[in-house]
Order: sequence, then C-alpha cells, then structure tokens
Amino acid sequence: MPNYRYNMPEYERRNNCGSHPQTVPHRHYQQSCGGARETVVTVQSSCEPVRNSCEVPRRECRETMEMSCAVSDDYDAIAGMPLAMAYVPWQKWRKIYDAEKALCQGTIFEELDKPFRGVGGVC
Amino acid sequence: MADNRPCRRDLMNRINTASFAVDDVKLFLDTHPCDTEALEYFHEFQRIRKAALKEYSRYYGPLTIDTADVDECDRWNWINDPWPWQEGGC
Amino acid sequence: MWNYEKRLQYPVKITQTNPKMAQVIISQFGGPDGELAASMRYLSQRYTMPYKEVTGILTDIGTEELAHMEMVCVIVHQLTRDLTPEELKASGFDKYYVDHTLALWPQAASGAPWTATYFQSKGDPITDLHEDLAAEQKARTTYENILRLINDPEVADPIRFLREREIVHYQRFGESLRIVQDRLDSKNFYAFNPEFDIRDSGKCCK
Repeated sequence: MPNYRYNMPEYERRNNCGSHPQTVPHRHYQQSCGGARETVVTVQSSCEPVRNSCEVPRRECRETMEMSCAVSDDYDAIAGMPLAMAYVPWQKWRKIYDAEKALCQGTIFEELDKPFRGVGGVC
Repeated sequence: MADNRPCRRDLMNRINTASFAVDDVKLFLDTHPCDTEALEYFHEFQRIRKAALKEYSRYYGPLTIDTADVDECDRWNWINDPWPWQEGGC
Repeated sequence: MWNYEKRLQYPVKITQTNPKMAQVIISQFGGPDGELAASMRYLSQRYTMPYKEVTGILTDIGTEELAHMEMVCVIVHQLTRDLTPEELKASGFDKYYVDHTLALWPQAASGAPWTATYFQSKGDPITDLHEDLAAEQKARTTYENILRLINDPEVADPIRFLREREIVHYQRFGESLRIVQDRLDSKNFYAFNPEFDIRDSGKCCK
C-alpha cells in the first residue's frame, strides 16, 4: 500500500527505480503482502529490478530505471571522498569587501554573504 | 564647542570598521595560518584599529584597559558613561 | 584570559520599546540555540582539542559569541527601557518583570531558564565539531524566525548582522573539521579518539 514511505526525495529518485511512487517499493522497506511479512531483497546496483513476493509491474520500472540511470550516474560533486564523513569546501582568500560594506553585511567575504530573503517581517 | 578634536561618531565608526575587519580575518587566519594575503590584510587593519583606539582614548576616554592612560588624567575614567548600551554609547 | 572593550561589535540603537519582541529575542540570550550556549559550548570544548588551529577557532568564536550575547542583551534592554506598569501588563512581559524587574536574566522565550544541557562538550574532535556546525545552523534559523516577526528596521539591522555571523562561523567550523580529517587516517576516521587515545592501539581486530 502506498504511504508516505513511497514518496522518495530527489536524491533517491536519482539512484533508484521509480519516479512513480507506487510501482516499486523502496529498496530497504520491509513489505507485507496480504498480512504475511516478506522482505524486499536489497539490491546492489541502483538499476537492478527489485524482487519481492508482491506483484510489481516491471515494464514501467525498467523504463524509469533507464531514465534515472542515465541521469544519475557520475553525479556526485565529491565522489571519491571517504564515506561516513561530512565535508565543507575550503575557502580561498578572494572577493574581499570594502571595510565599510563588510561591517554592514556582517562579513568581509562576498562569498559568505548570504542574506535572508524569507517572507514576512522586515528585510 | 570649538575645538579641533575629531568627531566622536567618526572615530567610533573607524574603530568599529577596522575592528570588524580584524575580527573576520582573524577567524580566517585561524584555519589558514599561512595565507600571506590574509596576514597582510590583518596587519593593515590592526594598525588602523590601534591608532584609532589610541586617538579615541585621548579625546573621549578609553575603550580598552590598554588605552587607559592614567597619567594624562586625574581620575579613573574607565568607568565613565556612556557604556555601550546607553544613550550615546555604541 | 579575557579583556573587555567598551563598544559593541555592531551598533544597536533602538528608539521604540516593544516588550513583546523582547520576550522573543531573549531566546538568543538564554535559549537553547542562543549566544550564551554557543559561547560556553566552544569555550568548553577547546581545552582538550589536540589541533592548534581548531583550538584557535574555538577560542576566537567562543569569545565573539560573548560579544554577540552582549548585543542581544542590549537589544532586549532597549526594547524594555522605562516601561510603565500598564505597558508591562498589556504585553505579557509582567511575568518576566515580577522576577527580574527590567534586568537581563538568561532564559528562553518560553521562560525556561538557561542550562548547560543546551550544549554538549563531548571530548572527541569530530563529534564536537559536528555539534558546533549544528549549533551555528540552529542559531541562524532562530535569527530568521525572529526576522519574520519583526517590523522595526532598527531591530532587524543588528539581528541581520548576527545571523550573517552564524554563516561565517559555520564555514570556519567546517574548515576545522577538514583540518581534523587531514590529521586522521582517511581509511578510518573513527579508529580512535585523538583527544584521549594515544593512537590506534591495534588491540582490536581491524
């Protein structure tokens, strides 16, 4: 049954089958069909079809798989960095504001100047 | 009153501006200790800041304990108003 | 040790009182993501940090947060200066006034008192820096929430400044984390805690 878990965010869509949330279960989701608990096989590659004991229409999956594989491969700006760690890019000394402007903006660095543009209140 | 002393507001603006430049480059230098351009920037604004603090103290009383020059004054003026949150403070 | 300068890092000049706004803004003094918590967090973490660049950042940002705490207190003070009993009752600020008059006391907007439970100092560089990155984002979000509630540009101006500083601090903590990573084995950043273990003892199986 489709529920909120089928709504996959963009990053998963890139690496997973199924822009249609109802066709393919999330690869790690323990799915129960008709009351019995069945485990979805976890796939190695993002483009292999997922097997489970519930009937899943495959054609739609393969089409969306090919589309998302074509788009998603090689997209990782920090590919190659060790896993299980966070990385903030290293800043270089450049684009320095004039000192008076810097005080007004809250930083001497133009590249760190990120004003709030939210609705309501005062800018 | 007619005098040649610099405008207090202008001096305070110069101190705030130079000090903020020092504050921000200081953090950059903590993580980039060998960056020569940042070091030059620091030296320039540190110089401006020190000179402005000294000048301010001469005419308007000290903003730091290091610029509190008791010899030039017959009382302890560090405690004088305005404090930063008061009228006329910054 | 610490010196004091008789000026604010950025000027605060508020001419119109507003105790309702003061009640909200006080969260950046004594609230969970406020400047006092930030300062105590960084100043506490620095004693056992084994990398001098990171010790420098924790010291300098921890000190700057005290200056920001001062700015927040000045904002709250100027928003509540010389209030009359009628104004206090009408605004709901009477609940704070009864216990503190118009003095500053570190609490959140909810009235919850400041507590060290608002921060962690875990004694592991990777852990502490992630705590610090999160803290800066939480503070930024809080300032944005405040900006949405404000109508007075004299109040918005220093708040905007304080928000921008959080973004800069985030970048510096991010660089500090990169420095820590550089000093550890990238095949396993978690093999040991450089603040406590002397090295990867090799006792455990790989």
